[in-house]
Amino acid sequence: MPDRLYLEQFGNVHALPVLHYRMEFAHLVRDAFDRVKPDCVALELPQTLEEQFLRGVRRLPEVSVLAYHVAAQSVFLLIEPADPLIEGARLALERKVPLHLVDIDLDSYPSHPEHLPDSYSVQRIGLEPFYREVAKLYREIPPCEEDLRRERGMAYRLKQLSAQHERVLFICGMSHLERIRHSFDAPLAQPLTRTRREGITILNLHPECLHEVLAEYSFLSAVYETRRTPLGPEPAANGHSLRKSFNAFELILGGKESIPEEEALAESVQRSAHRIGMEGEFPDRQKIMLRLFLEAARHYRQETGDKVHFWQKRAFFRFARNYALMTRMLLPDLFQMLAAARGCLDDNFAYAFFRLAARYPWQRETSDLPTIRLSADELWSSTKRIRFRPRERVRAKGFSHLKMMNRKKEKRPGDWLEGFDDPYICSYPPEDLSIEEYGRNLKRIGARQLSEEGSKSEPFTSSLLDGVDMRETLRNLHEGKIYVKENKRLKSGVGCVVVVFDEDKEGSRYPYCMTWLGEHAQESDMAFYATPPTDNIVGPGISRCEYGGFLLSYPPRRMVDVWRDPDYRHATGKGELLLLAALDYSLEKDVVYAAAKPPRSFMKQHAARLNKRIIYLPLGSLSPVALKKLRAFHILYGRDKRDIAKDYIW
Amino acid sequence: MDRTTIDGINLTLANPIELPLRWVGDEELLRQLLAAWMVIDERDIPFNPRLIGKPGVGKTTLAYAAAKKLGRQVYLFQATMDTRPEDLIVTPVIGPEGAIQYAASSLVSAMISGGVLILDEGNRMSEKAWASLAPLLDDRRYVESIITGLRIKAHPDFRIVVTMNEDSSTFEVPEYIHSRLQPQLFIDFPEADEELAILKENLPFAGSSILNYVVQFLQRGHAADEPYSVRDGINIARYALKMMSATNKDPHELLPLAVERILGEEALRYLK
Repeated sequence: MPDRLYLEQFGNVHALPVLHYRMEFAHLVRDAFDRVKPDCVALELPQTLEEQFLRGVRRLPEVSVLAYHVAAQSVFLLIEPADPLIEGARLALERKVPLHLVDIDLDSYPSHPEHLPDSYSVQRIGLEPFYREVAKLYREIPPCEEDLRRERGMAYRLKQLSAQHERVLFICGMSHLERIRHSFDAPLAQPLTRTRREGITILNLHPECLHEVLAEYSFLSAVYETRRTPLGPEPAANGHSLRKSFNAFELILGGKESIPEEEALAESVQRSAHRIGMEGEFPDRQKIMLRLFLEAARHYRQETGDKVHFWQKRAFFRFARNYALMTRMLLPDLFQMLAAARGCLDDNFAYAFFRLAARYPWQRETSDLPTIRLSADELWSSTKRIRFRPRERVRAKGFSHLKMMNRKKEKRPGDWLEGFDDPYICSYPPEDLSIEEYGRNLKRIGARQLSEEGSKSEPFTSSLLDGVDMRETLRNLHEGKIYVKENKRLKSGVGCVVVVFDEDKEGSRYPYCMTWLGEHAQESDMAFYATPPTDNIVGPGISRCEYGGFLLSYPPRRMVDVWRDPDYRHATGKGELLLLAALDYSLEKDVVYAAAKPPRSFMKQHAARLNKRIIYLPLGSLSPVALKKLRAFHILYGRDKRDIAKDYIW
Repeated sequence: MDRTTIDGINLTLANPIELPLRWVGDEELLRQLLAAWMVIDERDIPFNPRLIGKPGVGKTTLAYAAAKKLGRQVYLFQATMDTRPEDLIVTPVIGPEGAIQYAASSLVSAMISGGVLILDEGNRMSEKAWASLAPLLDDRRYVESIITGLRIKAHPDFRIVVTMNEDSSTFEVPEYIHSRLQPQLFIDFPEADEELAILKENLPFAGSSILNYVVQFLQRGHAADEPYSVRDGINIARYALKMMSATNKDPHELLPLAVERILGEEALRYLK
């Protein structure tokens, strides 16, 4: 492993060249403190900001925004943990080392487009070769007058400090350091600069804006922040569930079993901070990304019941890597990871990923400071000129178009429980329509399968039947015969449809067994087993369940409760019970049975005795997207929930 | 028409296509598609992405633009419910002298020449047809022609993208194909400024007030989850302009008529 830290030394000044707002450099500041043991810290920030800046630093880990106006422009400085200048100031305060802001305050400063290498490379190659390359890049860009003024000003102040202290640690952007070093040895005059600035305010940043405006995404900042202090005990690997579950008794009492979402997410941050390496070790951004993915996958499974497959994980990381490389970065930013999450998994996973990635446990909506909301749109719009200091533009901002992220949350803990006072339960009509439609689709697939099984080709004699079979004719070209094909049509129709997602051999995962009669002539009777409705509350009086399996039988209003029918007592599982019922209730000869495994041969014999036939469709031959959509359904407590349900159903 | 010989069998290759399409939508989508096709090492293999979206959002245009950005030849295969495995690979045809000749499909032509194949409306194709592409879509990167007995390997530069309309699957895309068609890139309806840019690109001769009017109509439709696409918007504006030219009426007067003719009466409620 290379020595990651590198310091430029001139006189008794030990200068750390940094990229602003990058976590790797914040950690290097910590290493630099340990190595140099400075008796003075100098930062590339103007002295005019000092009072409010230090107030913001003291507020950490809560993130603050330092704001002031220059003519028509608003200038914002975000005080966030994973930034080298902020880390320098924070350590100086913690270790009681004198801190000096040595930059000069200018009213105007041009913005330069910069394409810098990914700071992650410091992790692999160390700071020295990284800095040499970046310095070479900057040598080719002629500095503007403002740059030169600032650099001469900083060199002058450093010279003063070096005369008063033994070891000065100077933390400075890479673009300036080389010229400051040269100026340091030259004779310098005190710069003419503004010594006071009015109207500087320090504000609390609204927690909902963090994901848009923080330079390092919230989860990464939170992991960094957690690792700054000694790590406490690691939370249990299985952890708390994000699924809002209420058991019936608690429901009546108005209590609840689940812990707040914030706590479960904070626990994920804690666990991740433990799992990315030993205490004090250089935090590896790639490992943090992996932990974010794994924790999001756990939450996704808790909430939706869907597992993240290995091939999805591999696709996510490969696609995210390629996407980052397209933008000349080694690792993806949050936006790119979200695009990969949506593209390689689905919207629900992307939501789980985003919710955790945007989690920064310490930020509060209210504080002793006024709270400000900032959005990426505002920050980078051309009409309202606002800019950050220091000047490097942070990457890939803006999530305003991610509409899927606007999922509703409980306004206060227990808010959704109040919707359960209606004893009447009903289904969500769009889901009824889609399951009916899918049932019809399965009947079509079953009929087609039977027809194909019955098709045959034969040499042409007197009839062309359903047409010339070109493939068979060519295959037997040496015979000099023409082959014709006959497609056998299914004589009877398909009656009932059974879909078994999970056989639930242990009988514990899907305990909710129901038989529902169709509400009208167009709707089938239905029997199903599913997860209990009190297990996953997604809205006021709205429960989300997952089918273990279901049976559709048409025409409606004929089915008695299949779960209590003694005729099906000998069924070996819930899926088989549904199949037995389907064979009984089907008015047609054929019954479609879609499951991961075919029915045992006894079932086929039983069907034959009833003069029925089972058409088996392997579950894998059906679209996983369609099945996933179908598998989740919602139970609404009260008809009035039908009007609001669409806002809570995902 | 080009010909090639593989293992002693002559194949006639299909011609690439040239279309007057330019992508003026979200650049990020273009980048995502190119990222999916990117390889970083000769042992790396590209993804086989699929583009999902409602009709008229520009799936084929995006695929074409990305392929052009790579500087490769583009081949298009329009899938239908009748598409059979041999249609996708090699079909026998009767030549001028009555002998059987073998014609490589546009897919195989793209595979051999290292071009880009756009498999349009892939969700309309049956599982049987998809099954013939399974080895092409994983690490094996070849197809087998049952008719000729050939195993045809894809050129390392070969790329494929499948467009799918999320609303109208004729067949199910089974799990083993689903896992091979990754990542899925979703094309949503564009934002107002993008929509205006697309209309301007397609109707450079139209006045901006007409285009703005159409964009507002489309945006109201998107907000109400109606399936009105930019393609519909282009048709509405084009129809109104043609009527204007024929009748000398004010275009704003003609737009409701155009909306009604293109999308039906129920769309009129989204006009101001």
